Amino acid sequence: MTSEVVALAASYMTPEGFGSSALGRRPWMDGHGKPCERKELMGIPWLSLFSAPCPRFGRMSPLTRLGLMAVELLDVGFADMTEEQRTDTGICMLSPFGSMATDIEFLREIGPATFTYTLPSSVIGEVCIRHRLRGPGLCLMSEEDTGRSIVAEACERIAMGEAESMLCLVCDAPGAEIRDLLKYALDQNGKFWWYAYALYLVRTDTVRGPGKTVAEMVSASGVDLCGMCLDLCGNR
Amino acid sequence: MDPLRLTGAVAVAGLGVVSAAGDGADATLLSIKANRVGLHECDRYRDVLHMTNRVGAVSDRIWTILCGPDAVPADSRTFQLANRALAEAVRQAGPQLAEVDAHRVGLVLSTTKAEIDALGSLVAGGHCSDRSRRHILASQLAADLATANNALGPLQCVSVACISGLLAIQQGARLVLAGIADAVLVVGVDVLSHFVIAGFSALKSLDPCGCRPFDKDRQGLSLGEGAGALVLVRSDLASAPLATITGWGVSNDANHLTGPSRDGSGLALAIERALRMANRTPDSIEYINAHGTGTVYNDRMEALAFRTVFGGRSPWVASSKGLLGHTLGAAGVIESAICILAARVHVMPGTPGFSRPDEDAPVRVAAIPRCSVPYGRILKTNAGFGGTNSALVLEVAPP
Repeated sequence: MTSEVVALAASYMTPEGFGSSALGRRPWMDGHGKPCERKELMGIPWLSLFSAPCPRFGRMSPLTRLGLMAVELLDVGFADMTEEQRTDTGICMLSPFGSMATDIEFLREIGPATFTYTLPSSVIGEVCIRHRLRGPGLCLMSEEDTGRSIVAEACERIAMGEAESMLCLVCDAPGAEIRDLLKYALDQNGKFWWYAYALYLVRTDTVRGPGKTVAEMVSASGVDLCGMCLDLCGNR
Repeated sequence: MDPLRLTGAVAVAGLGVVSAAGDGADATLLSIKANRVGLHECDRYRDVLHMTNRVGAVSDRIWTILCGPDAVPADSRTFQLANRALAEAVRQAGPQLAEVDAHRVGLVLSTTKAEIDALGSLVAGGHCSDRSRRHILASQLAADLATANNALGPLQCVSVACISGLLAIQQGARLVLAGIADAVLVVGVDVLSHFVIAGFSALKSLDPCGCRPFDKDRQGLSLGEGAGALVLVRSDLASAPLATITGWGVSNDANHLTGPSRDGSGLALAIERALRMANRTPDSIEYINAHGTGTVYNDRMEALAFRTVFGGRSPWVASSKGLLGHTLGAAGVIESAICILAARVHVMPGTPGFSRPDEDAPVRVAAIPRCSVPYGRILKTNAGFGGTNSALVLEVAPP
């Protein structure tokens, strides 16, 4: 199935930087305009990254902001798509800890605005609303998987004719509090840091320009979705 | 591009259910036949932050069986409930499952909040059992359920609001269809908690009188808890299939995060996708088990979607929410199990809580159960936060 699918765009956001297949790799800047080593999630200059206004962004959970922003960075040109193309574009997402940070916030202060974001799939909802995408959605939760299964799920939906194109999204925004509450000893590999990776996949026969097939990317790097995104962003 | 036809490819070989409707398939079927309302005031959920404590709770008798008389704080209630439903489903599947290599048996879990009470306890500075703490993470709950049921094959955990259950069934069917597994245990579970009741209260979505799906006077939903399980197997391994999964569709409204679309077009799109995959026309569907939460806008949206797809010739439509409450991530699995259970004995479930038709949202509501009605082609729908919609086509085999 992977040979029938082409990756047209990729993006990422991590504490070290952000980028896309169009932009390349960019470091975060500090308040003085100098590159910084690691950026806290709360310090991201979100609004400067949007090309068009994003209503309600300030009310969204950190996880939702991350997912939405990663898709924004793809710069796929959803606005130029036909209604039919948007109807046939879906999203497969993976998030190990999902909305747990927002769950904690809600437990501390109960309110409707926070409750709305106590589902990891709220990311899918916000992306679909912003870009008017009406295709199939899926959100998996797994600590073991780093996104390969999500790419497979997206490819399968395209191959089965359920969608013409798919966004793949891996994002997480847990905090140190979750590590402490769950008694996690492991903090290696930045597991409790935030990150978002996005990949835009389309059926091979609908593409006119260049694009690596998913099969080529997997065989070339043998890596997961995060690795594919970094490859496409020129980060390796 | 034509979607792949699934007809007959994946069979349901066993099912199990524990909910406000009862413990097990037999008790659930009795409740369906009696059109019982399963919603009651529950002292455990009396709280100033709760709009109501009228819920679809699993009975104390069942909780005592599952957790023991001193099970306070309960040891991973989600695990206990899900494992109970799984045990029944596995037992029913019998040799159809027993003959499959354990490494070819997968498990797909659907849940929205997993062991959320444990997180609440920890955040408040309290304690919980080690297992409850593990099961705050849905993926660890899924892993423990798989181990307990000797499902050593692929493992997935689905969380897409109230369509999670239907998506889990689809994911299970995909694993079988792709040859990744020969059998998949699909289990959906969510338990009542202060978290969800306070959340829906904050949204003012609850009906203090108990939900009344599709009723003119409906005011909101009622929450419920439960677990449902289905054993899916490759159809050639199913010697006594209960039903087959023949098609599914998923869509997004792209409209609002918590409110359904006003025109029903998103759900209609999901239904049309499911029918296309099942290679069925609308007029071949004999019964619809709707999402039917009892909120003003959901039920109106569904009525519009059904009118779009079925025109003036809609099959009977019913909602099980008055019996179960809204079991969130478990809803799709439990309600699909109910459809199969009832159709196998030629009972068409009714809509507990419904009494007055709504002229603004006309739909052919099956108010009471109909007995001795042979039928088998069923459409199951769910919709949820984030604008998600899903539809599943089930074809129930005669006993």
